[in-house]
Amino acid sequence: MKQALLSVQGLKTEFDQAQASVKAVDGVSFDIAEGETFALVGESGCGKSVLALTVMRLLSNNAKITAGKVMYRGKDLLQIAEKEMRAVRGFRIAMIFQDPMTSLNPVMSVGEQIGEAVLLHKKLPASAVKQRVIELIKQVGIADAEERYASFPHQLSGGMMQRVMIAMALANEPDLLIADEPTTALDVTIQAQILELLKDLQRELGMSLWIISHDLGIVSDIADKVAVMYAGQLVEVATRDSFFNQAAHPYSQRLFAALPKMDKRDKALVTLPGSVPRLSQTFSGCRFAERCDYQQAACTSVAKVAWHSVADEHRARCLRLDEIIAKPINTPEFIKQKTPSTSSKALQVNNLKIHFAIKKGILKRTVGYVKAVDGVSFDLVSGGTTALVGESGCGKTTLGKGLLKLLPITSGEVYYQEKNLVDMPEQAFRAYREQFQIIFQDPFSSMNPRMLVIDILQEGLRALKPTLSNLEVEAQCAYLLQKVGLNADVLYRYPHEFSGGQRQRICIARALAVKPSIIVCDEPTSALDVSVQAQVLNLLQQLQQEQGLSYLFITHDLSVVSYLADSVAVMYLGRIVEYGSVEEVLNTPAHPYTKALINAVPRWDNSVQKTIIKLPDTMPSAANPPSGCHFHTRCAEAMPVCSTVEPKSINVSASHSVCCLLFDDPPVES
Amino acid sequence: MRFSLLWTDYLVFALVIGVSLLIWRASKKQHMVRPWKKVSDSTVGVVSLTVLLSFVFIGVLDSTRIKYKPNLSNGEGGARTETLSVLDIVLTPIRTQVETTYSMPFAHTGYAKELLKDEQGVTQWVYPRLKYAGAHLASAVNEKPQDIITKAVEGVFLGFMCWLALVVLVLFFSKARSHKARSKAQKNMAYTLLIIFSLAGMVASLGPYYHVLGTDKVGEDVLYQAIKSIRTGLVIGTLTTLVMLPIAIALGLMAGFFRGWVDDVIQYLYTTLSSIPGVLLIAAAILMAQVYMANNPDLFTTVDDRGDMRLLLLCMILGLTSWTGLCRLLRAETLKIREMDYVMAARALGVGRMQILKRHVLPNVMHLVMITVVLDFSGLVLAEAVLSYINIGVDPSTYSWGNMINTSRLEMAREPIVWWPLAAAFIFMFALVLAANLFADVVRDAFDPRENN
Repeated sequence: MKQALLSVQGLKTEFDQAQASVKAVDGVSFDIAEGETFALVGESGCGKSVLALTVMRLLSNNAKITAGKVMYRGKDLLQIAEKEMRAVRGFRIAMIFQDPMTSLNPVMSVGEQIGEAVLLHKKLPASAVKQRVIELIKQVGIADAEERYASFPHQLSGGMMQRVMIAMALANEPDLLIADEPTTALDVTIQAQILELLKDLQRELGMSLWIISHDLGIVSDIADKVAVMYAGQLVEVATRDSFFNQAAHPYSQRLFAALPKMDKRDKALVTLPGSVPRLSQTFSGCRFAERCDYQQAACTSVAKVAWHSVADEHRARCLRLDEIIAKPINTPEFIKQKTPSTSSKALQVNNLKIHFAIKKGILKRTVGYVKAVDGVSFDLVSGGTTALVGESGCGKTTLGKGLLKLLPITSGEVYYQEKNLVDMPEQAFRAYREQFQIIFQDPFSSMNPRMLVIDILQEGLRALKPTLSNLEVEAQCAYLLQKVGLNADVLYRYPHEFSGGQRQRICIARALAVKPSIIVCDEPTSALDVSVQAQVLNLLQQLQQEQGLSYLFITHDLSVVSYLADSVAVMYLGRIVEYGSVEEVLNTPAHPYTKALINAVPRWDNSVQKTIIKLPDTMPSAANPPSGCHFHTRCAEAMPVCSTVEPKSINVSASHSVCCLLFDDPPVES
Repeated sequence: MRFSLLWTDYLVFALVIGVSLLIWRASKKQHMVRPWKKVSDSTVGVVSLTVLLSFVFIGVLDSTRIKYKPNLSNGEGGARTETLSVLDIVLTPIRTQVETTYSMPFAHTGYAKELLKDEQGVTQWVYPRLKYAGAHLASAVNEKPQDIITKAVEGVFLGFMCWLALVVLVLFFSKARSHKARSKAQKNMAYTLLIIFSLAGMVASLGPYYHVLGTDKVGEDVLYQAIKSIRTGLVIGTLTTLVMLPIAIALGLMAGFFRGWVDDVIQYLYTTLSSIPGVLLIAAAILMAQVYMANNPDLFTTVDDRGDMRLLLLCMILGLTSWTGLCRLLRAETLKIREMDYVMAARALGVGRMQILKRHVLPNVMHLVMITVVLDFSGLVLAEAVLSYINIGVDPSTYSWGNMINTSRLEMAREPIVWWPLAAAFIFMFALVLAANLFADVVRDAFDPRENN
């Protein structure tokens, strides 16, 4: 076993709050060896970021460290003076954060910012600094390092900004790099490359990496050692292989079971009952007990649950490990029996275009268009789910809002029950409003913070069905809440009193209030934790079964797609590049972009060998899309002809079509 | 005896009744009570609110005007009627005890030496005794300090007794008799009132015998002037906002929500208006009004009428020039809110545009409105002082802090200087504005939904 570089022992961090102190980190011990990648997994609010900040001594003033040691090369980082700590922080131990957009100073050029980090601990002449900065920029895989030196953050894409952040962290060749959710704000294709970069750099520089994530896929991709955190404590520590072969703690098992996957399509996802316990309470025994299937009286009667060894270097904090490993959880709540009839179409979209004019000058002349949605055609299967997949900025949200006529449509046709909704004036369309509803991504901005839940639920009924009496409306609201699994006592509370998952349920109830037939789900689970996501996905499935709803499910998460969708449309820069049934698109992708997307998803089953298809970081702007095939600038298989000829939709099979010149028959001569 | 109200009096009463109605309506809704509960939990909030309410109480007393025939002891003036506010009647000894000219606070002699003949007929250059202040003392120099302290203590005691009576009365009618059942807010309010009552008792006890804050050039009590000015300050601060609010809210929301040409026109309007110096507009309007009043003397029969009309006009013109700031703020906020998901959701649910404005946009900008109203209130009270200072404010016959400051311009240049009218105006204005600002802070914190966790 390698020597421990960083050793955290019995660390406790508390936050003083008005009523009680919140024990965000409560007795955490672990080691990170030299050159090792240590992954800390947990859902939001479990204290994982606080743990990292405690080690870096970057906590806010109302936090205090009540016990424990952080040993780094024989020194206790909690005991040394702040001045000494500054020589460690950023120099020996560096940190990168989740959102690169807010971590960079927008008025300083990238080179200057990296140069600042270089100069912090070393006095160098200006020319040497510049040389070192350019070296660093090259090291993190940014092309045209000389040019990028003078760029400002807003000129870079999100992936490049995260690379710059990494370059800053690497400026002094630290022993340990702490990465707090380094790829959560990035697209999946970029995420794969950043992870690749971190792996390469680690190998090159021999540093240790401490990665904090909620995503098991990322962890399996990069980690040597995994620790699972729950309610301020570690509940399981294991090597990567041991953990992904056999997660021992019931909580870890639940996390795996809650992940949506293709082979779980017919079952409900396993969810965690209840919610994360408040960290201000005093615990006795196992903290997970009240949500655990294996709970026994002993679980909460003991003062503290000790570590139990599962295998070599694999231990978990659970009293009943042996039984649990022998009998893994299996609790499907319902069996899906849907066979959406492909023949009946809930909605038919033909050549839909949504362009936004770019206006300039005093007279506001139109100088160009942002072609957010540029000629999109697809069908929405009645009673089924069509997934719309793509990276951020590809126009998928615009398309969703456009279908509901929340944005002005430039041209095209949308047929619902043989009627073209596009030409319809707003007055006439109001009669159809109740058929189309939308659920948004951010459960915090999708409800008016000044309205009570009852008013939020009533709004649609009052607007579209003004003839209903008060009594009927209230009965309807109570029914809706029961439908989405909430108690009726939430009616007179404000949205901010609910957790993310509960808010999303209320949003679903609001959409259901007017009895729609089509719901546009705009990334409804991407802001939620895995276990909460499972609850929401189950609810959406169940509602579809009961009420025959059709979903247009907008997402960037292919695992959700594989679990939920019946057909998939892959969108790139305003156009659908591939469309087909979920099996066809995910198992035998045709378009190079789809392949890149699928390959970029981190997976832990080693059976499938995959090669990451590197896409350049920068997605072209929709205001000035590349000629010919929009994707040719990033495509690994691009041919010269791709830049001149616009590909047409070609049927690969009866239900599978692709827009790519590779499939043109006969192949276009270049 | 009957009421004789002026225009602004009607508006003040309408405002008081309107606000009371709003409070009564809000108090029935659980979710409206909650933020106010937060205000009442804050010590600063309750103390500043109590001070503000005391000012409002005085303002309302001063707005209740009664026409009556004075009973003069010598039997003259039977046909003459006089209009006095309730406040004037309460302050009667202070109001009527007018000296000949300047005197310092608590002085028993004039501020400047005069040539006087004593009993022997010898002309002497001495400080003259005042007609009223300290007149009850035989040997003023020796007895005065003792007398002031005695009367002050008596006053505090009087105030304490009144306070005790009030507290007992309230306790008698309320359910919360035990000490524990009383909320923090009630206790805070009671303690603040104790201080206010003690001060008032002191003034009541000393007032008839001394000029607590001195007298001005014509011998009028400065304390009386300062108290009378409260009403002017409140009227300017509240009625102006009342004029401004509907314009700012309607135009701001429309510009932000409808965009397009509506936005262009409204933006053009407020950009143009805010480019014209406000003082110029105000000066022009006031001067025009003066000309109009001079040409139509039969419309404004009394000095009070004229002063009142000018006050009202000042409120209006201040309101018409000061809506641009809030309008701009609301436009920007509305631009943000109209893109929020909950507005999208409401549109998807087929909610009409007016309903969206009323239900989703307006409630979410109300915190801006409320903060602006309270901050503007203090700003306007101060603006009145500035405008009166350059003679385009309220009528010179109207009591106002601005007029007091304007007059003390000369008094400060005098040797020896007369500082107390300025100090009095400063203290009163400071108390009112500080209370308003502190209250604004607490209200803003309480109404921010993101901080309620």
